[in-house]
Amino acid sequence: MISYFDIKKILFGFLAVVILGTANPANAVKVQIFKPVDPQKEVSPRVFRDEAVSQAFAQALFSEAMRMIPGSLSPERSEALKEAFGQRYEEYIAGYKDMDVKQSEDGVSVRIDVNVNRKSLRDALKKMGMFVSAGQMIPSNILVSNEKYSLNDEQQAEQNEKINSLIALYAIQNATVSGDVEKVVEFSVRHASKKRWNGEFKSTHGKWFASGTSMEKVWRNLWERYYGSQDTQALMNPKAVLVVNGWFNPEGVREFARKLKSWDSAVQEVQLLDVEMKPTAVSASWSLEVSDQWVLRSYLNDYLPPRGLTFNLKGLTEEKE
Amino acid sequence: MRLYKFLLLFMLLTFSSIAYAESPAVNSGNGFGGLIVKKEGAKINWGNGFITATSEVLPMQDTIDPIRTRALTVRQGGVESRKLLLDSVLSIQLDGRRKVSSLLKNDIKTMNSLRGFVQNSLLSTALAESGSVEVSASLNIRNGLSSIIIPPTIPFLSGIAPTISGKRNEGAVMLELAENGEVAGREATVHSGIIIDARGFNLTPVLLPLIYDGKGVGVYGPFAVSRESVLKHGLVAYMVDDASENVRSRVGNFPLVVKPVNTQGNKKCNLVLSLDAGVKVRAVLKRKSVVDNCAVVILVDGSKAEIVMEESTSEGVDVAVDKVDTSTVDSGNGIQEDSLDDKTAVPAQ
Repeated sequence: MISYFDIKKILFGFLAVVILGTANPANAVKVQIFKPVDPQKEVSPRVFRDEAVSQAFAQALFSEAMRMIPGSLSPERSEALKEAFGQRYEEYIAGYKDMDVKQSEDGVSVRIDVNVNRKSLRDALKKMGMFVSAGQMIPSNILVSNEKYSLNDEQQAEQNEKINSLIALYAIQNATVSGDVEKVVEFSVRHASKKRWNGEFKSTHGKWFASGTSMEKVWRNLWERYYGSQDTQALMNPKAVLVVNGWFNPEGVREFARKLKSWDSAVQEVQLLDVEMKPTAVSASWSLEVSDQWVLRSYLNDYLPPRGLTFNLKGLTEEKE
Repeated sequence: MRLYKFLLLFMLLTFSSIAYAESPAVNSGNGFGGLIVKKEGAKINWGNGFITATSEVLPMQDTIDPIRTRALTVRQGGVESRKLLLDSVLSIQLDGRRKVSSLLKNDIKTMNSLRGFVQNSLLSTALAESGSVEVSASLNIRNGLSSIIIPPTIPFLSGIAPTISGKRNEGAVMLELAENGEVAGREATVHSGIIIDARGFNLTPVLLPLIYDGKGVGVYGPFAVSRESVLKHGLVAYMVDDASENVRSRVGNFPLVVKPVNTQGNKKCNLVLSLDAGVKVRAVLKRKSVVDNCAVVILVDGSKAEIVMEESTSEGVDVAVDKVDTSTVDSGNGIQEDSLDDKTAVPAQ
């Protein structure tokens, strides 16, 4: 049974998260993590400290990514994303400050204020298929072959774990579960020579080949190309036209466009189509890819009416999925 | 029972804070203790940073299409109020020497951002009893606009205290003195913020004022805080009512209250404290929370300040000269909105 003090702790925790979350400006992410010492593993304090710092950076990126991604991710995909950031985080970080690392007997606590490079993070998330309409999985036939380079039990277990993590990260589904044969992606990776893996990817949107020094590199390369291709994006996120009316002067249009582009959890690929000047007001229209129309509508309803502006979103069905 | 009471209190707190956060325009009212300066149809609240400009337009009578006439009237009102808003932003005094307009006169890119920002300001329309349409445009200096009008070239958090005399070395000596003093530790642990009671000094509010100590060495100013904090909270808040809830929310429940001994500068915008007060203020500024939240309030004589501003716009020499200065400089550089353009853009029926 949950005691009075447990509830109190949970509520205070919630309050603290709310306060921290609202106090931050858009790009800066404040994180605080604690990495406990694992008695099973023998690591030097310096390596352990570095691991904790990397984990803090990964956590910052993960928090920012969760803010940008429409909908919510499955626990497996969230874990895989966090792991991916743990390995590669430098390219998505513009800077950091106030780093405070405290080492104790139990572990290391890191507090840091990270400035995230949102543009590169957004591009990376797009290539991982994170902006695809929530919950949509890609039915695929996956074949990973080690050819003549057989693995022992431990190595095989490690490889299987890696494959499962990649399957979760790129929202891949076993083709036998899904009934639609035409949309099935054929994907294979082979250990061709000692330091070389080759991969092949076949889908209705294209056919790609890749080669790299590890299975993971080839995997990433091919799936990023698939999610990054225009055709795939167009299929995943519906295109819409947003018409905003009510400015008295065309100068307001540019400022709103800047605002619109910052709502990346709701829209991508924002492009100005035209600006029309009428005697009563100025209106402008944009083409955009909508990844979450309900979030977009709530942003628009919050921002536009208090400024005397009205909007019309064309090309989207009103029904919620 | 205690658990229910706690839950009820928590829910009340959460909902009231959400409701408060979602109604920023409410704070622009007069009743919140901030210094309100009215000038040519615009109103600046130096307590919470809201600027509001209002214009009244009488719609054309006996027209064929009343809906179109109303739309045109709202447009004209909107154009006029936003022009007033832009003018009042440009006429804000940044510090003792510069106005916002003087900083932007050669910076077309920033000027365009400012214009864009003003064109997306909050707009409300009301129908007056006389039949005219009242259109108000408002925006907050903090959180957005301040990043445009406070130039990035100003060295924030430099730690180098400026001096009235212009000599640099005195500052270091003074800082050392303050650090060694016993008072320092005590003040830092006790106080949650600073209130400078400058009532009776006829102070001019500016965005980035400087507070000096008795030897003319800077105690508080842009050099002591980060740009990020200033953009978010404003360097100081000018309040008229020390009992206002907004004063407490800014400086906490145990503020250090000091009285300045003099003002500094031609515009009377900087303050000089006594030596003793300077040491105490420096000690309080050692608290990270005070510096991070810019927990400094300057109390001014509200009603007097307002009267002075209004009187001086009609007959005073200082502000009248100022006005001429702004209009000549700005129109010469093409910064301000061309009112003729906007008015002629409304076609007659």
